[in-house]
Amino acid sequence: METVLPMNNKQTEHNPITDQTKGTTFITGATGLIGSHLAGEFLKKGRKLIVLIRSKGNLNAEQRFHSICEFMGLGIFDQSQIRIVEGSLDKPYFGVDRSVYNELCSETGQIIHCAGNTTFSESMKTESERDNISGLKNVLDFARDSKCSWFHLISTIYTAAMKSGICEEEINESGIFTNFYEEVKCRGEKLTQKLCCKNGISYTIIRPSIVVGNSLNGRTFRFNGLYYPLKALILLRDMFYDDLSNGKGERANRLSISIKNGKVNLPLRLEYNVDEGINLIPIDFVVNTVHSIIKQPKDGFIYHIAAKNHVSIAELIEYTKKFFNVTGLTPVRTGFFSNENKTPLECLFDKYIEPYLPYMKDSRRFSTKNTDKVINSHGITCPAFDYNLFASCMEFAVKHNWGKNI
Amino acid sequence: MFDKKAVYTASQCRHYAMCKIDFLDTGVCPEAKKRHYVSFYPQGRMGIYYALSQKKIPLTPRVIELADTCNLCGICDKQCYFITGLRPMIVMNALKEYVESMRKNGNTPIHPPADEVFDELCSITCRKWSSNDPADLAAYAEDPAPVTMFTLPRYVTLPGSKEEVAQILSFCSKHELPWAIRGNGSSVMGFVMSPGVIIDLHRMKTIDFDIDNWSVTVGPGVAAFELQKAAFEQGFRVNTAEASALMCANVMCSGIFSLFSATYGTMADNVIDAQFVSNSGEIFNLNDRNSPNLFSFTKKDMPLPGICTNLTVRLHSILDDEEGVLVPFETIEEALSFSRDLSMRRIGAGIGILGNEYISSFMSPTKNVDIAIHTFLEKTIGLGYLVLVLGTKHDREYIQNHAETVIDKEQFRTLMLGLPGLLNNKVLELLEDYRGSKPAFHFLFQKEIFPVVEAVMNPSPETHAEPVDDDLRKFYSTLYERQEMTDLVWLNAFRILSARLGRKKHVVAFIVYVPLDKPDTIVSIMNSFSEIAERHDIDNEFGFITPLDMGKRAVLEYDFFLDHRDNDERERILPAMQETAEMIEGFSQSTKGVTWIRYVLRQGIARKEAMLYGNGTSDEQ
Repeated sequence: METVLPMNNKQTEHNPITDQTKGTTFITGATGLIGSHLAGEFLKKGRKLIVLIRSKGNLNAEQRFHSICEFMGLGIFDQSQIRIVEGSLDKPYFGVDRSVYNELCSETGQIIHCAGNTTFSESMKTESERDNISGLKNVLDFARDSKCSWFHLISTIYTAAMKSGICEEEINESGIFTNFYEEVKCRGEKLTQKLCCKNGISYTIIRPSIVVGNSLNGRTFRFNGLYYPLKALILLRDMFYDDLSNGKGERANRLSISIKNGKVNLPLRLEYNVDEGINLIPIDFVVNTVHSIIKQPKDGFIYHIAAKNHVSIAELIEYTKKFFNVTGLTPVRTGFFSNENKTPLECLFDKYIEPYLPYMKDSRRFSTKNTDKVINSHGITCPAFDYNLFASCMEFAVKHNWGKNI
Repeated sequence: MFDKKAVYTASQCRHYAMCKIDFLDTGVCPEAKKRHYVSFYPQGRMGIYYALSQKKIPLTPRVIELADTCNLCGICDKQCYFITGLRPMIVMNALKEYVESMRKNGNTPIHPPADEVFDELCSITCRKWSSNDPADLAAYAEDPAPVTMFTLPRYVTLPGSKEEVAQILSFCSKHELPWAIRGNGSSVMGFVMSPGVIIDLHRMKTIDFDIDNWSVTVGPGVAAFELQKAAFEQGFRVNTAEASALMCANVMCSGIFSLFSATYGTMADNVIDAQFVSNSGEIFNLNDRNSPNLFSFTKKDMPLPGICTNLTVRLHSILDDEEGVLVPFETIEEALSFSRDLSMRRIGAGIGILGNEYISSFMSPTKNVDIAIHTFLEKTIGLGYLVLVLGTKHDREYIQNHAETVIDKEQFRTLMLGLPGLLNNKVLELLEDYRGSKPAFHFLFQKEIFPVVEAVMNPSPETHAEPVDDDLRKFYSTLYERQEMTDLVWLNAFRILSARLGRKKHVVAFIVYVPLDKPDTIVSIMNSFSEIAERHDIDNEFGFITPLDMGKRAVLEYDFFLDHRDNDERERILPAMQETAEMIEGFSQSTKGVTWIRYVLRQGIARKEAMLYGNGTSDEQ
């Protein structure tokens, strides 16, 4: 059974595939993780592409995109395949000359809007609104002006209603969110739905869960999500390692941090529930899935890209201890661990990972019916997030100093 | 002949006169203590060496005396490094080497020519306390203020009594000599310079307590630090300006404001009586029924009513549970609202909103740490402003209950003593990565997690001393063993850190009285300062805001920074200052409660109510 959209009831299964394959694909957020990998796949497949990129620091759009291409090992590709446009989503007509804007309109056949602001910080609300709503509105205006046939919005699975049980592939009308990031992304979905319907543009909303590195080699250049708490843990370990190995360890001992059998003992208890965990998907799975969706898009459909099973905190702790050579990390069942008993180190870690906790201790399951129909026909499956995949991702992260050396 | 490094060091003296007070318990330059002339203090010696290197003065008897009387004790290095990071000892050595080489080459000093007028001046003070030696004059000829040029006075004189002051003014009048009264260091606008006679009151250092009447009378040579030290010894506190500012001079120029002005007030609020020598040489007291009405305020530039030769001010009690706490905020609007609330509720003996520049420069032992901490506060942990409250345990209880995050006395001590540890790369990375919904400072200063922060920072006098020059590290370690060096109440009473604001560059401070009930106006004024400075490529920072009169008004400092030896910067800052003046006048005319401190100059004893709330037009009426 397909999801019925509340606003326009526009879902159809018979949009001709050929429509969306005509013309050039316009990608926003092409320097982000998903946008860049999608762009890379398009280039590899010889498809024509326009990428809209803003300059940053001393780097112009072209330099930024080329450094991404270099990371992805794209090598030499036909320059005529791609048009790199320097512009800003938050400006009308992207801040480019009207003649350029008009050219982009005439060339564009479909749009994949990957750009967005993922900050959870309350103090960045204005920027988040600007990037996730005003920016999106400008792209939707561009979609209208270009008369493109398809608009694909890359959103997040966490706009789904916050509840336990199964989250369906539908717009969240509950108004309940974990943070304003989810709220603003949900508003973006509704805006997309509204304006695409109004302007007669076919659209999809694609919602990935938490993205990690490539399933084969761990490669990525974004180290948030899963990486965030792990990096914090390793930084804490390393802060005291020198004190333990070179000094008297007085500072470490104050926090009961020690070295035992060559391993750093970080006494850190982490709360968990058996039915909770984190939903992790490798970037290659995301890219393959998005490609298969946009090959056979269904107008007005929402697609969840998620793993079938969560990885539990207990599993992550085991992986972490093994890979990072630490001891002392202990999963403790909720109810057996009160705030009053927490050590300063535990308070620090809890507070540090607080914004990510709802995603690490998530008891929701995400329906992937719409997505499954597409990927099953392409033989795509989501790699299980086991120790090997964890180790690949962490090996890459550590080798590249959590992105600093990339 | 002139050592380049020494010339550079000499050129950088900020004239903040901290070498004239014993603020680190090192003592002061021993010869200067006896001789009182600025020329004998490290500040003067540096100025003289620089003037020699620029061929502005010749070798004189005083130059030789200065070189010979310096025993290279190193006190100046400790004092000056603490404030500016400069090492004056290199200049002291170079001055000796210069004199030695001149001697070897057979150069003889040039004596000032015979001068009958000078002889007459000497008859007032005796020859020991007046000088026309160019070296002495050079020590009074410069000021880092951008509006001033090198101006050698004709004479310098150091009277020892009000009678001598009166005679000197008559002498000046008789010979039609312009004169300027000399405080301890520099003034923002170069008021301490004159081509005529410089009257330096440094010898008049009397401090007389009248405990039963909660008052103390000070001579015009007494610096704020010296008075506060004496008052503390008696168990009292006085509302004072920066450590080296002279009490009498500062009352006349600014009315004296400090964080304690939130409760102690400013201007006439603390003044019980004052003695003056009028411009015509008559002596009068403020409380004389027939004295000029110095309690009135006129919103225009007023002439100096005379030279203040002593001042009687109020003593305030010190309570045994006083402590300082800091409340961090991201925006100025939040900080204004919080500090106004405190002031209206009469919470805290002292209140001030401090900007990042204040915090980083005061806390940091060196310039490099200062720069890094400034970035850390602003960029890494998103801290914009700190409200500093000095108060009792009841005040602290209110604050703990009403502020989201509070940095208490112990946390502040940890921060001060562990500051270099905060700049550890891994700590920085952890905080830079922080993705909380609120700025990272809320996370960093949480009580529950602070033991981890403390373990990482490893606070100790030795840690604090790590970034300083090797040979001064031991001195710093010992210095920071003293609790008072990290005690916010003590630091704000003695204000020994204020001069660090000019460590990176000389600071040009703009002071404006503002209506605290109109935060939008305050923000607009701050933005205007910033826009003007940016337009002229001038470094600028918000300084502080202190509530006055129970939250109705406040005093705002905004700072421009200037390399006073860089002609290009001096050229750029002049139009910026002019535009700033116009901007303040504009706000002053359009918004009640906005008054520039310019009009308080020479009216510092006026009633603050007349300045803060009056239309200031009594003369015209």
